[in-house]
Amino acid sequence: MTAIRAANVTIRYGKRTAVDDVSIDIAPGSVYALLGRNGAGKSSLVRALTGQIRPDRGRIELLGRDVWSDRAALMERVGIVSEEPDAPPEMRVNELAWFHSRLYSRWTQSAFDERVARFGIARNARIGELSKGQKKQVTLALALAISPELLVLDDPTLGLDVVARKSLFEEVIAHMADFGITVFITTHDLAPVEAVADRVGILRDGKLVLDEETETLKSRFRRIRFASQPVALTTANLITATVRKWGSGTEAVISNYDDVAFERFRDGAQLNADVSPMSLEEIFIAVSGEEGA
Amino acid sequence: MSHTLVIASRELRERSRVFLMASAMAVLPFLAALVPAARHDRPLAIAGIAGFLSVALALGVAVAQGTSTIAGDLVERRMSFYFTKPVSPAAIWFGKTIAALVTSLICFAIVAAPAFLATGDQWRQTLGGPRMLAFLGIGVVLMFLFSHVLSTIVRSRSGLIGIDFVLAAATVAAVYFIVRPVLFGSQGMAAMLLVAIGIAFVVILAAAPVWQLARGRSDIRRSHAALSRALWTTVAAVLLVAGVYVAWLVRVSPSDLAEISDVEQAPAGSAVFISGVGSMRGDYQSSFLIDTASGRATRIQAPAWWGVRFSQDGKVAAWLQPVSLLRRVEFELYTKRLDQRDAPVVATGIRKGGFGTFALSPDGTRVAVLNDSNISVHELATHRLLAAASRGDRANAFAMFFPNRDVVRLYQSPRNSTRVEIYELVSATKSFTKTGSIESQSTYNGIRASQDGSRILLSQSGIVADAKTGAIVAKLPMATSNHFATAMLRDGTIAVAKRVAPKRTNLSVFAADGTLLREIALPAHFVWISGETESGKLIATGYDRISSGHDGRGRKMFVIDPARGTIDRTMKDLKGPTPNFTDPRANRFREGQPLVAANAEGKLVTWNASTGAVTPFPSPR
Repeated sequence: MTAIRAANVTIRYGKRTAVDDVSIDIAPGSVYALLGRNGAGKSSLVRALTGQIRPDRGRIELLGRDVWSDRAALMERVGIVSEEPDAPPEMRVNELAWFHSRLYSRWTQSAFDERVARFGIARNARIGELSKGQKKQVTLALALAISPELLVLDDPTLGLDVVARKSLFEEVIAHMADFGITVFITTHDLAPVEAVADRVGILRDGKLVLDEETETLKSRFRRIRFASQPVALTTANLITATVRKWGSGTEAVISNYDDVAFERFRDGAQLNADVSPMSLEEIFIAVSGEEGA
Repeated sequence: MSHTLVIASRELRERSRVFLMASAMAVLPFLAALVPAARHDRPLAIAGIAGFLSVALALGVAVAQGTSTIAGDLVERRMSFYFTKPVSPAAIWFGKTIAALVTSLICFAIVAAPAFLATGDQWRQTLGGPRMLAFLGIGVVLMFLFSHVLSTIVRSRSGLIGIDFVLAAATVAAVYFIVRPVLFGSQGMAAMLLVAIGIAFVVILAAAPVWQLARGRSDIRRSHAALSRALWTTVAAVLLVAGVYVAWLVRVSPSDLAEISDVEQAPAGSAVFISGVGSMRGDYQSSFLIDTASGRATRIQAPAWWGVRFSQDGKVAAWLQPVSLLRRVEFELYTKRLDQRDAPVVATGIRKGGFGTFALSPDGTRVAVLNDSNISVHELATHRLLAAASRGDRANAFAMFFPNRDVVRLYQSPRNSTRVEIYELVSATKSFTKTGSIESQSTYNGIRASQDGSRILLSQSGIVADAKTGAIVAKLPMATSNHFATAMLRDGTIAVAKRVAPKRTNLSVFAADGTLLREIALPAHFVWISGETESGKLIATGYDRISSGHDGRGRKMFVIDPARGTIDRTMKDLKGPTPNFTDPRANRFREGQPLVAANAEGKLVTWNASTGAVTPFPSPR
């Protein structure tokens, strides 16, 4: 059984296609990071994954059950942190906790209290009075207090300060994964994701252009800088994701880098080339950028 | 606690500021009562102002919540707050609805309670008791539901808005056309049907949002689409059911009638009007024109309580139909030729307001229509207005008939007067002239006329007078205390039925000069005179109880010879044609003409006044 299975999901708003034939399988206990630029379709996909909108085509299962038809039952097992905090601004933090405690059978009050205290948020504060980051933290505390089997985080670091971001990734998400909880996260904050995500997907214009194990992804992408003019990398069966001028030379991003093949090519062509690994952020820019492949 | 109540509780907490506003408003009536102008009756001022404010606030809060509780959350993208929780769409909708309705009623109570406690009886006198609360509750529910639907439709800004409004208009039209046919047969059932459809629509309005949330969830446009789909498909289903019911209700053939409530026979020819109730159809009255010779039946929508008019030659039938549901006292005249096979029912376009009447000319070519303040004559073939005149405001009209094709004679009294005034409207000259008057002893006068239209009888006072000038010819010894029927017969004699003892009625026969010629004892408590045959025999129906139902059980028909003072024939368990209540001249029947009657089972039969033979009614087609 997969934790999340999306098969050929297409979501349209009128004539505009927000998500185009996306299929994802996410194994239980893994951390999946979905990346994409603004308007790539991440939030639409998250809304469909959480049963808030029905795909125009395709099917989504969470924890083995159809999310559209079994949403209410599934939400008992799924913690969600939305992109925009949606709790009514008039509600106080403790009222929100009371509300959740009545709806979730696995609600743990102490876990909620502990986290809210750690975040330094007053329990009688109104949601509308909290900063954006604090609202996210309250939402996160609520989502975690139900002991979820699946945690869906839609841009959870938006508005968080550096310390809170670090805490979220290193303590919370990594901790969740250690306990076998599946985490699905969309974020622009790529550096910490690199450390926790088992698998990465990249959406571009609604299409899933990349869906791969993080380590595999990082191993096959390389930046190559040539001191001389561009050379035909394709003769070595190397696929360039991007090619651009770099000083008097050229910089190319290779999306199927292979040490042996490249060394053979470099020796044969007698090139002066500098090969360096890429961060997830650099890969994301290369893949989702305008000039990307 | 169920999820519905948890949500209701949460929503209620959110509305605490509304209660604060209501509390502030609760003080206003007491402050207003301090104004010097209100000093003379402070309880009335407090109760009146508090009543207005509390009702307005409750309804206003219902509307405000209806527009915001779902549609507002959808537009502001706050519905994900609920949809990311393990709660069903039904729990969300009903939780929010309960909170909204309770909020409205609490607001009402906050404003009303102090005034009620302070004024007590004055409050009850000014605003009523539990009934007013019930109406307010219904109003709050309707306001909330309607505003929710409207708000969802409008705020989605989707292209479906136009379709919604077209369908709403179509629904109103469909309801109108579904209920309208029922109105002709039973105003009560039409009202009940309207109420039933209304209740079904309220249930739909209350339930459709569950579908809206289940299918549309947190997207306003999809939500609108889901709501519209749920709304209009269920509305269509209700209209379909109502339409099928009405089709079944009105589809009664004459042979399906379980009870006959009215039988009217044309003075000549073979046409008869019947109305009655089909089995399992409540009090819905179906009406038909039937040719007794061929059995051909034509369904007409003449309200049973007014029946039809036949021309004296029996060639034309005319009746009134309500114009619309909204204008129930405006009627249109319909006609059908009886001497032409397959002649259509014709809507004449001639309309009549109020509760006046109309009369056909002897040859059925013209109709006189009496409205509240005017009289008019129209040609039926062309629907052309031939003549019209004002007959004065607030005059009580008693009778109207055509003495001949060109003249309409009208008998009426000024308001609260005992003077009966006689007018003639002449089509050829278009003149409306007062031709005479009679000083009666009553402000109400039942008027009977001789067959040739030369004399009249004022039934209540017993005055026999010249029909045109009002010159008194004779005075009959009449008493108004007992139920009686009268008829002026073709030989100039006058028949008066008068109850003289329980289950005994005397039929007195007077000469034209008022001399009592003879009395005939009839064994019945009440008697009506159906008409006169060509040979001068009277056809009368007797009955012992007014509420003896619509069938012929317990009734009897008499064939009376007024010239000899004998009862020639008594037919038990038959109810014959009703008298002509609007034409003051007695019905005339041809010798041997099959007379139509209802038997003990309420079924139609024909019988022969000469032989007494009763035969089943030919199965109408």
